[in-house]
Parts: sequence; structure tokens; C-alpha cells
Amino acid sequence: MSKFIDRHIKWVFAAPALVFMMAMIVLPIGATFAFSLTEWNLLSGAAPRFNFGQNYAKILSSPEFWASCGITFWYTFLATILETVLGLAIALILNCEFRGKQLAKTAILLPYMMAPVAVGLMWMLFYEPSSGIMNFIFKSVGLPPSTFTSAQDTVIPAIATVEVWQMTPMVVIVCLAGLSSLPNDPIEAAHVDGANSIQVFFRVILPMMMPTLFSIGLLRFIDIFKSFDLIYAMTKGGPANASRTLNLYAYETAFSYYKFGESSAILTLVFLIVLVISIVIINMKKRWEEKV
Amino acid sequence: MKKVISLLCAGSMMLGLAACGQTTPSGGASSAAGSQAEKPYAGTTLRVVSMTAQVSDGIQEYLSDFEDKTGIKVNLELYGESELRQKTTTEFLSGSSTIDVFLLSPLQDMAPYSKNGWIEPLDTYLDDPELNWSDFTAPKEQITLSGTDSIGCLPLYSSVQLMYYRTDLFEQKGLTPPTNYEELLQVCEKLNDPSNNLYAIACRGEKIALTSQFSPFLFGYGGSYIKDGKSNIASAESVDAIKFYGRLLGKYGPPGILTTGYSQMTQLFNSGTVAMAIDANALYATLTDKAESAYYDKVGVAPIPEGPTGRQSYKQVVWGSSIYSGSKNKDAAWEFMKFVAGSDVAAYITPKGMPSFRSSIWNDSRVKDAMSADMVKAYSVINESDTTNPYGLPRLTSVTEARDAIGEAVVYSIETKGEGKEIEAKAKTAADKVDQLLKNSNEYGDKYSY
Amino acid sequence: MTVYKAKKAAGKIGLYALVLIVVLPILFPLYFVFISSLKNMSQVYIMPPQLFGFTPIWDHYKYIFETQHYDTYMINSAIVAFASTAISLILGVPASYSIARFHMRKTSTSILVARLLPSISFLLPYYFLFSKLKMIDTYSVLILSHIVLSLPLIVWIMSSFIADIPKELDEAAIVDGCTRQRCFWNVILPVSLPGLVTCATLSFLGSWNNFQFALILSGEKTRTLPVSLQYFVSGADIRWGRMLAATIVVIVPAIILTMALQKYIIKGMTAGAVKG
Repeated sequence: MSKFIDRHIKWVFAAPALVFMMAMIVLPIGATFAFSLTEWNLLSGAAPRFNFGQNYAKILSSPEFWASCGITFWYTFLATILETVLGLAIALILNCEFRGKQLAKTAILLPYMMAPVAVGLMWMLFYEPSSGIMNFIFKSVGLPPSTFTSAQDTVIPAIATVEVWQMTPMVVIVCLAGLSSLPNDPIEAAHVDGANSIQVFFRVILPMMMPTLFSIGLLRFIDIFKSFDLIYAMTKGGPANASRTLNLYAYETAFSYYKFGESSAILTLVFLIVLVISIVIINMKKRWEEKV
Repeated sequence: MKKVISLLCAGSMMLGLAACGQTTPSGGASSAAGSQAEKPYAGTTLRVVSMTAQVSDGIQEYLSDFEDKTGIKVNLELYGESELRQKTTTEFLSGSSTIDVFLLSPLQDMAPYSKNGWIEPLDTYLDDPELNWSDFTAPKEQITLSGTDSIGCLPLYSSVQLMYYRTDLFEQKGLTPPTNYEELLQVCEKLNDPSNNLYAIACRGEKIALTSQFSPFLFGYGGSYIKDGKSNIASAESVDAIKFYGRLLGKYGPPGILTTGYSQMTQLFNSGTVAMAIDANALYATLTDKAESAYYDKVGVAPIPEGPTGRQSYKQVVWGSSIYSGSKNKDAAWEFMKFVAGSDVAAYITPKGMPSFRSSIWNDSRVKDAMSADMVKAYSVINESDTTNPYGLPRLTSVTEARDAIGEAVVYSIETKGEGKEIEAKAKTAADKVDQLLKNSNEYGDKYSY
Repeated sequence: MTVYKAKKAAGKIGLYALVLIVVLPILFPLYFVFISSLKNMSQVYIMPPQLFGFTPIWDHYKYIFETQHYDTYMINSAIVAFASTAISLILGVPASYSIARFHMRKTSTSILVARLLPSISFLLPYYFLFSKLKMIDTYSVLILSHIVLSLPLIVWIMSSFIADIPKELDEAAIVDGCTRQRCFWNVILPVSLPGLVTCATLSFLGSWNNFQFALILSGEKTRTLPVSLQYFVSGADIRWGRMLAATIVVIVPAIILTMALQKYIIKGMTAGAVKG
């Protein structure tokens, strides 16, 4: 028995997880795709009826979808890049030896522990244009007051700030784990060769951290791309749909306009976009690892 | 004290029932058997999903009384507004929901929920004398199952429009609240004092936000947003209303009126910039909040002035309560429905800015004690008045776009103090846009289904 | 020599300054939330805010524990979070080992797929399925659904973590006569402790804060904390004081847990001396 396990360890170890996941996602993917091919509008009260690609044709030709698509990409890139860069920087700082390091680490994790709904609402309190604390701070340091979530051009950066505030800790702790497992030899060798800290970082640490950064960056990208709770709690997609990402658009189509067929088509498209981008990033990671 | 009152109420209700001793068709009247000890529904458990607002506070306040009286055990689940909608829709779609009673926003949910057969028609229950259905003044078209005459929900509270004014300024000038549009203009003329940074009146001027608050003027002149499935905003009556609204705000409104939405309204009134404001009843709580306003004790309330075609405040049924058609405990659910729409909960929520549709509530001592006399009077006047403007908004799929188009014409009118040469042309443009929106979503003309 | 010392001291000060720049923007909003939960709403809007020396009002906290069943919700959340994390680790870590050592990219991608699906697309299918199985409002269904989210996370992080552990370690162990299983237990797991703790923390907190699944699949008996936060939030009015107090209550157990886990992270790092 033990021998059997050992010989087939590859599948013995991987199969339970694989089988469980397949069982749990076949239904959602299948059902969403099936719904997306139907005319299913609760307002008409009629049962779902196949209309094949009509939902997709309608969505892909609607300017609202493309506007929402643009917003989603802008929000996702902004937040992902900020989180990855900040996360690595903070991890490097926390990787140094200093007193109170444990406390600092715990402090860093705090925002990540809060429910996104609560975080969103709490920041809406800070962002209130006339009596919120953010504009008070802006004024105190001589900056002009901002409109934050109440104007179309500032709403995405304002929400992205909150996303970064809450989720960077996740990047930090993954980077810390990655840093702690880096071999010391190349770093010491570089120091002996007379490289300064900045050179060591760019020539030695960063290349070795790249796989970790790709992994966590991809995870953050995926989560932010389909993030819902935070934006919903803060603006519900407003003002004037300026923060209506694809996921919110799908939600609104289903639960405000009761068009479940169209909503499922949007969800399927979101899934496909994320899938394609993930495969591209995974391939980039693979190529990068092969190059090294 | 509240407990004592509610017990007395419950007691008197019981006595009254025992005295009349009738039975109702639904079987709900088995509770009328009289003696409290019987607890007709002992052992029944109801699952109720509701939303987290003061109406649920009212339910919780009296829930144990209800449970004691009927023997029903109520599991009350509370959710935010959109989560409630998501939860009920998902459960009902699956067909295996265990919900018995749920709260809904008729404006948004009645059509999809009733067309899918999720709502139990209440007609056979309404004769129950314990309910006293004739006491309710809700606009019927908002609470009937779509496309039928059957009542689908019991209306819980309304949103209406009221006029707020500064009692100190009115006293100083010896004025009384205006009751019609001419008086409104006269009063404004007397109050307006721009050199001292005091303006007579504020109403909403922000393009999209203004639609609902402009509607009483629109209907007050005999106009409307949509008529027979076509835009009616360019009709002579509608244009009169646009001109009047423009004149009122252009001449007597504060600078920056064009950016005024809900929250700016409060700010203008609370900072003492305006002497009058016409807006939703929800504004009252903030205007009279000591923590928010320097004039919290100088706020008078009056019904909105009457137009040539009457007092046309919108009267929205904000929340209603319904029985799920798949409920296995419909009789017990009805007991709970009567309780939710009953006078205890109504007396609890009404002073908190959620006026009940029960006419009798305005004579209830709990309401009279908790509210100022002018507020009670204003509410009851609005509640009794018939209106052709129940919704306050154009009814079509692309509501926001339509509000935007109509708002543009009204804004032009305000900018030109109601005298602009292009008001008719702008109204026509707006009408064309709305017609196009109706056509786009296949709702134009005969196909209009609201 | 003194120059070197001075340089070192300046470096230390610089480091502390950096730490402060990082920690302050995180702690200040939380402190603000904490003091706001002890104030009336009209006090919260006063600018500049009164950060110290006001009279705290504990009503909001009293309300949460006396009127709401926050203790029950907390136990529910903890059961679901612990169970789903444990099962995810048991399923996920061996799979990560296989993926890392045998380059099973397709397996890795197919496990990750669940993470790619927008959570709304789970709601209707899951509700249909689990209501037919009479599993709505049970711990099992919540645990199952949370594993769907945490398993891909664990596989994704752990497989890249294990890939970084030099293969020579396995090979040396196998040459010493270890089986692959033993090698996994005795060599790989101890070395990857920091990664394991990281994954456990992320997975626990992910479940602790999950809202969408919990909203649809939980009920009266299994209501979790994020769903109960809804109690204070509705379209028309938000009860800030109570909601902020609830927010504080929700994060306190999470803080205690992380502090406890931190110790293990350090242990893992010192135990990982092999890596040098």
C-alpha cells in the first residue's frame, strides 16, 4: 500500500484537491453559461427561454458594457500595481531587525482583518467632502480639498486607495514569507563584492522575489478585477456609473433590473477575461523562471 | 410605560373582537375566539425577513407581546435593503424557500415578484376586522399585484413632500404658510433679502435630483411626465409648471441652487440661508436635530401649497409587507401581517419620520404626544388628499436617463428665471429624448405597461 | 569607527521613521474608528476631531452584546473559519507539493479556476443545489463553500513556496532511505512552516470576512459576523456608532489570533535554518 502511494504520490497528493474543486465548480460554471444563453427576465414572469447568442450580441454592442470594462481595467491596474509595489516595500522594511517588529507586523495586518463592507463604510465617513477627516487633513497640510467619491473623475482613485489600504497586508505577509525563504549566500556575496543596498535589491533580491511577486500579483489582480463588496458598500457604482465595474454591472442587471440571462452573460465574459489574463500572466511567470 | 400602553391596546383589541365575534373567510379569525390563554397558533414558527430600518425596530419593540398573544414564534432576520432583495430573489427562484413573510419595496419589487407568482394575494384576508382595511389610504396601484386588482402587500409607510419654514422669520414679518402658488410667490417676495444673505426658498435644483421634488408642481399644473405611453413634458400644462418652478427658484432661491440635492437642502436650511424649503418628509429629522442645526427649534411644517389642479404631493409606498405564496403557515403569517401593519408598529414608526398609511394614527395619543401639532396636521392633510402623482418619478426602464433629459429643461428655466425664450424648445427636446428612451426599451405608446 | 557608529545610528533612526510612515496611516484610521465608536454621531463630525480626553459612551457596545447575539455569531464564524482552513490545508498542501515537484501546471490552473469565477455566479447554482440537499443553514455548507475560495489560495501560494525549497533536500532524504511521504512530512513541512502559517492566516481571515456566500447559504442558526454587520446598515440610514462598535468587536478576536500565530511564524523562520 505504502509502496503504491509512493509510486503514484503525484496523483495521490493532487487528486483529492483536484476532485473536490472540479465537483464544486462544475455546477456554477455550467449553470452560469447555460443561463447566459437564455432570455430570462423576471419582469416578464416568463420561464427562461433559449435565445442562443443574443445576450452576448446585445452586451458586446452596448456602450455601457465597454464603459464598465474600461473602469474595471483602470481600477484593477491602479490597485494591483500599488499593492504589489507597496507590499514589497513594506515587507523589505519589516524584514529588517528592529525593536517592536512583531507589533508592527500585527499592526500591518489589522486592515486585512476587517470586513470589506465595514471598511468601505468607514472610509465613506472619512471621505465626506464637507465634514470628513480626509479633507480636514488635506486642508491642514495645504492641499486643496478633494471631491473623493462624490465626483466622477476622483471616485476610482478614492476607492482604489481604500482597496490598497485594506489588501496590501496580504501582499506584505506573502512577501515576508518569500523573503524569509531566500538563500543568504548570493546576498552576502554581492555585499562582499561591494554592491550597495540598492544594487543588491535590484540585482539579487528582486530577481529572486519575482516568482513570489508574480504569484501574489496575479492573485490580487484576480480578486480586484472581480471585487464587489467594497465598491458596493461605498458608491454602489456611482456617481453616474463612474465606478460601476463589470461585477457591479452584472449584479445590477440581475438584482435591480431582474435580467438574469444578460447578467449571466456578463458574468461569463468576466470569467473569460480573467481566465485569459491569468493564463497570460502564468505564462509570463513560466518564461521568466526559465530565463533565470 | 410603552409596554403598559401596548398591553392596554392589546387588551382592548381583544375585548373588541370578542364583542364582535365575527369570523373571517381566511380562518385568520380563529384568533377572535377571545381568551388569551388559548394561543391559537401555539407551536407555529414563522420565518420573517425584513430590512434594517426603524420599521424593524418597531417590530422588535412589540414582538414579544405578539408572540405572547398568539403563541407564534417569530424568527426575524434583518438585512440591508439590497441584501434583502438578493436573499429573497435567490430563495424564491429556487422554489424551496422557507420564508413566510417578507418586506418589499413595491416600486421596485412588486412587478417581478408578482409576475413570478411569489406573492400571496391578500384579498380574502382583507375583510378581517382586526385589520380595518378601510383605515389605509395608500395609493392602490402601488400595492396591487402587477396586471391585476388583487392587493399584494400591506403598505407600511409613505414618502411624501412637505413644506418647512422658519417660524421666527414668519412671525417677525407676520406671515402664515402659503396655501397656494400665488400666496407662495407673495410670501417669497416679502421674505427675500439677498443683501442680508437670506433667500426666501430652496427646492432641489440639481439636474437629476430635482425630478421627484419638481413633480408636485408639474402635476399641480395638470402636467405629467408620461401620458398614454408618450412623453408629456412638452404639453402646455407641463411647460407652465417648468416656467413656474424656474421663476420661483430663479428669483427667490439662493445662489448655487443648481447644485442643490438632498444634502445641500439641509445645509441651506440649517445654516439659516433660506426661510422655506420644500422637500421630502425624510428631511425633517435632520432639520430638527440639535446636533445638526442652529435653528432646530424654529422649524415649522405645513402641507405643500395647492396648485391649479390640487395638492399633488407624491405618495410613495416605501415599504410593504407580503406573504410568500409558498408559505406553509399562511394563517399564522396573516396574524403577523396584521401586527406589522397594526397600530402599535405604526405609532412607533410614524413619529420617527416614517408616516403610516393608517388614517386613525393621527388621532393616536402616542403619535400626538411625540410629534408637533403642525407636523401631524401636515401629514394628515397630505395623506387624505387624492393625487394623480403617486410615484413622483417618470415610470420607464431608463429612469435615470429620462430624469437627466427632463432636468435639463427645468435647469434652463431656473437659469432664466422662468422667462427664457427657449423653454418650450428645451421641453420639446426633453420630450423627444424621453420618447426615444421609451422606444429603445420597447415601452412606447400601446406597449407602455406601467 | 565613530563615523561607522554614527552612520549605524542614523540608519536605525531612518528605519524607525520608515516604520512609522508605514504604520501610522494604518493605525490612525483604526484609532479614529475606535474613538468614534465611543462618541455620539454629532461629535464625530466635529473638525478638528477630539482625539483624546472626551467622555466615552459605552452604549453602542452594550447594545451589541445585550440586544444582538454577537457571542453566537462569533462562535459560528470561528467554527466555519477553523474547519474550512483545516480542511483546505489538508487538501491543499499535499497537492501543492505534487504541483511544485512534478510541474503539474494544468492541475494548478484548474484548481485556481474557482478563484476566477465572480462570486455572484456561485449564488444561484449553490442555493439551488444545497437547498435541494437540505443543507442551507448548516455549518457544512458554509465550510464547503469557503473551502472553494481558500483551497486555490493555498495551492497557489504553497506551490510557489515549495518550488523555492531546493530539490536537493528531497533528494538527500530519499538517498538516506526516506520514502516520498516521509520526505514530505519530515523534510518539506518543517521547512515550509512560514508559508503554512501565512496560508492558514489568509485562509482563516478570508473565511472570517466572507460575506456573499454567508449571506445566501447561512440562516438563523449559522449567521456569521459579516452578515450580522448588515444589521446596522440600510439604504436610508446607517447606525454608525453601533456599526463601528461591531467592527471593533469583529477584529479583536482576529488580532488575538494573529498575535498568537506570529510566534509560530518566528519559530518557522528559525527552524528554517536548513535553507542557508
